[in-house]
Amino acid sequence: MDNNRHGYADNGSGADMVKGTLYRILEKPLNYARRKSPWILHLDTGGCNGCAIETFAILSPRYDMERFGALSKGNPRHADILVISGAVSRKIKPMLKRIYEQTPEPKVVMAIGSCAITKGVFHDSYNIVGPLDRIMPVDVYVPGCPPKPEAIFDGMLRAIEKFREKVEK
Amino acid sequence: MIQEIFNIIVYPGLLFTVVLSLVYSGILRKLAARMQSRIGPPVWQPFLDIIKLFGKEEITPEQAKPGFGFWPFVAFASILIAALLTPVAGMVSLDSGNFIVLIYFLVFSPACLYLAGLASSNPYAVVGSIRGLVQMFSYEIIFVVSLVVPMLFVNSLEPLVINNYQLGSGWIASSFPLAAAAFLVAVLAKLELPPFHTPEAHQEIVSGYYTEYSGFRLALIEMTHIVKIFVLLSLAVAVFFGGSGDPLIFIIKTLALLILLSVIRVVLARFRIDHVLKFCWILGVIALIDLIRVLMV
Repeated sequence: MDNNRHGYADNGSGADMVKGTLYRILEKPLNYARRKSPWILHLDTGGCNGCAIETFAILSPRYDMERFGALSKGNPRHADILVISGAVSRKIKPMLKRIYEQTPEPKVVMAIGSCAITKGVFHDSYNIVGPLDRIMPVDVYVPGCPPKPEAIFDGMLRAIEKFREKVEK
Repeated sequence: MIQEIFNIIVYPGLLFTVVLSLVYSGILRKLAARMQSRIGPPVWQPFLDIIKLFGKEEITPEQAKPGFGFWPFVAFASILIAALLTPVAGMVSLDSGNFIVLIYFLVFSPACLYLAGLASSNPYAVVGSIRGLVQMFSYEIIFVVSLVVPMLFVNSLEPLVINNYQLGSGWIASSFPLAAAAFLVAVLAKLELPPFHTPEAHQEIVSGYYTEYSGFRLALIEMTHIVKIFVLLSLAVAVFFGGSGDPLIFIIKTLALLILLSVIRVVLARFRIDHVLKFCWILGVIALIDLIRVLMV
């Protein structure tokens, strides 16, 4: 489907014209709000769970992701940033595609850890299907095995900046 | 005429209610964060969340039943009408309702959300809706029984009359503490705040009845929750906690209740759905004691 920059399919009906006009007027506050309220979906695609634990650390009081307005959602339909860690196994590949499609536009994908970026130690496994960016477009890479919570945080802030590139152009 | 329209649209009607309830929701989140020794989001964070959700793509599942797009609007509209009927700082914006209408709209709004959950035909949403309906069964009884106590005591069905009665002659909560306590628990259950967030239980059933919603309609559902906090707090102040004549007293009292709610929210864990039922029935008995007392006066 050909989406315009606000994620709405514009098929020329009256309602879409009204929506389009409204979004042109409200563009500035909307873009500000997008940067200030990124809701994340964390997904572990299979692996050693190390990256998952480090990702959960940024939800904890010590790092406190919520001071940037971010919330952890267990639901792709509510999420803005997909945080995906672990090697992509054959079983999870169709689910992963589905989750990507269920996430509403505009969205940003983060790949956490060596396994998601390059398959890591699983590079010659029969069961691991390619790095994450063979399956979906990835915007931010956070390398490490596992990356420190600070690094994931930095990745999240870069992902927020990606909204600027994606939406504002 | 102009005064009436101003009352409905600006103060103490829609604009005032929506803005203040968004701020209250932000305060609730900030307080929870501070109690968990986090920094927490800024107080205006709910504004940003809602604005962001308005600009997101909407996804309608293929299996969705006809009411899917429709019920969130009805839920939001009915909670706004309930807000107009609730006394805010000694004023009611819509001067043509009484408790019966108010209770009706306060029941109708969550019922619409549960219907929305059933219409989205997602297994998690259906489980969430059914849990919500069961929970409704348990808390509505306490809610109505404890609300009947001040109605019978003041002998009026108008919220504003009860509000003004308390301005002259003390808090109803001091003469009927059991009913007031039961009312507060019912408020907590109606708001689906912990320990009563069973219908949306994030660790068990994704997001409960609004699992399938995204974008604009999700924003409406969030707004329904947020406005409901404000409506029920102002109702509690008007009916049990001394009423309020001017905005300052009103804001102080509702904020005090909000702090109480946020402490409970941080401290307690979630009830299982059958525990909710048992707990609420016991509280119903407690509220009945005060009902019998007021009938004997």
